[in-house]
Amino acid sequence: MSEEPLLRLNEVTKRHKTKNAAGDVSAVSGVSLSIAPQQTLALVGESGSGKSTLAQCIACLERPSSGEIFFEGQNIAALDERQLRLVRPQIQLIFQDPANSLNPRWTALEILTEPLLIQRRCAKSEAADRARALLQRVAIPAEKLGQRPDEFSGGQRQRLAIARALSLGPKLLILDEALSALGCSAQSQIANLLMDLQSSLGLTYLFITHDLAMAAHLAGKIAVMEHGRIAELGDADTVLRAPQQEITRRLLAAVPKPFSASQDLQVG
Amino acid sequence: MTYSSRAADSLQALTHITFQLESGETLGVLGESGSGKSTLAAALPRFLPVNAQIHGEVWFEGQELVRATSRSLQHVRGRRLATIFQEPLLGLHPTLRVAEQVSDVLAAHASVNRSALPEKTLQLLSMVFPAESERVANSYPHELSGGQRQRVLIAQAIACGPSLIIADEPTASLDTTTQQEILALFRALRQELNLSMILITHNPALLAGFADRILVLYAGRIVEIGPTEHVLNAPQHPYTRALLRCASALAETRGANRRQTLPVVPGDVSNIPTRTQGCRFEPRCPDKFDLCTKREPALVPTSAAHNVSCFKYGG
Repeated sequence: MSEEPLLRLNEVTKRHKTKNAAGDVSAVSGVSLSIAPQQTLALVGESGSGKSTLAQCIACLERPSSGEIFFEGQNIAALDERQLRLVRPQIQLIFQDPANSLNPRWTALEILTEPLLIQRRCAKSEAADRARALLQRVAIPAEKLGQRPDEFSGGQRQRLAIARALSLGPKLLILDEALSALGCSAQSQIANLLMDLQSSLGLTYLFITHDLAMAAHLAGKIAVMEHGRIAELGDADTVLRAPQQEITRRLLAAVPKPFSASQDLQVG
Repeated sequence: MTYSSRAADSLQALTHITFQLESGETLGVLGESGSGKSTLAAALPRFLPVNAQIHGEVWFEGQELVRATSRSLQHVRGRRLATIFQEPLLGLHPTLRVAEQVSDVLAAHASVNRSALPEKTLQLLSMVFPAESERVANSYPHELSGGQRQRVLIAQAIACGPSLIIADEPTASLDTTTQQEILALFRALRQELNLSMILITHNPALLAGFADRILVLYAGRIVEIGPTEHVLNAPQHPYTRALLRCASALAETRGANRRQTLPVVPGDVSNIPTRTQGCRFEPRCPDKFDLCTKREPALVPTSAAHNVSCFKYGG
């Protein structure tokens, strides 16, 4: 490998205990993968395939049962709570439904300044300016700073969640079905924003989705997950053109066909 | 069947909504969040909160629903007109087995005699779960996948033999492979039971080959309505055109345009003007001209059965 990966997983397994006689359930079993800095890896699979559990392990919200997770060369699966406090700000998660991940009683200003104040990144007086700059970064008008999430449209709420994730200057963003709940135009707008942010801030993305079309648009590499394992992993082009596994073919078949768009549609 | 309704509030969620649905027909309602599409789903069977006011008329099987008494509405809801919502977990009771929840629907509408309930319940479940109806009947909702839960809601919806099903984003919380399975189930049931359907969605790709006609909703107004092929292949309204251009780019999987900027409808629903006159789409419209801020365009025919509300076509 030419470049040291930002994130490298080695045989990561997460088991959940059950009362069932059949024993423990493995949500994630023996997953190995890596992402180079400033690249995007798409993790694609149906619901229940273990994508979100894997995301929680990488974000240090869950500890894997076994295996190693190297972030900038350091095995973060083996760190204690105190050491994790230094790592967590560098890995941020964005969830599917921003209505559930944003505090409904807080204004955008409070939502954006809280991480800065908790991590003691700046003085209270400076925090508001930083929040304003973050909103601008995700193209939300500055006058929304005093408003609460229910006064934002669905797309704007997801932008706000992205702005909060950016507040601590992370290196890796984990986007867990971050576009799935949005309408067509809002999806495209956020996808465009993510590409802009990636090139301007040098971010690395783990893009989790069941939508193979969007995965192919954003990511250079695609990993297909099924029953907690990586079924197929390769360059996006190869995975799309010559899918090796049944699950990949099934996901490909579920992508809606482009309509027979007439010339008319090319007009802007 | 004729619907002609105008729901209004101090915040007008829907205005001048007039359409007709034939028996056995499927109408797709297409709109972004904030377009009023869910209000429409809830307004027809009058599931709206008490502070909502509906003006106009909704005619369903010869009966007017807006002024109907709640007693006579009970004979319509569930029995003749069933509604399915997006999140199946919210529509199911968490601690009752599936069989009980389906048979409750049958019992509530008194269409079956008590001793026949278990058999009728199983029969309904086998229509939506050809392979595993017995196992599902004894399961709790949390033991089922999202797609299976949605099938249970569908079994409840068809339980009393309705003539119309209103489905509000029934597949939005499901992954793409399951979405297609649910649509296939709807297709089969529609045929078998001669159902009319109103399918409400933000995703035009779901409507291709599924709906007979498409109604495009923007900021509570009908901006375009016509046969599915016409609306998808030759959209007229600037909003429909921008939306479909965007949806069609999203469905392009071959990676030819990888990482290029995707087409969007500029702005979002927060750009709806607060002024009372003029076209609601004007601030986001690429084709706007002077007249657009002066008054609201009327819905005018551009071809047989295809109507558009835009000054480009007369308005």
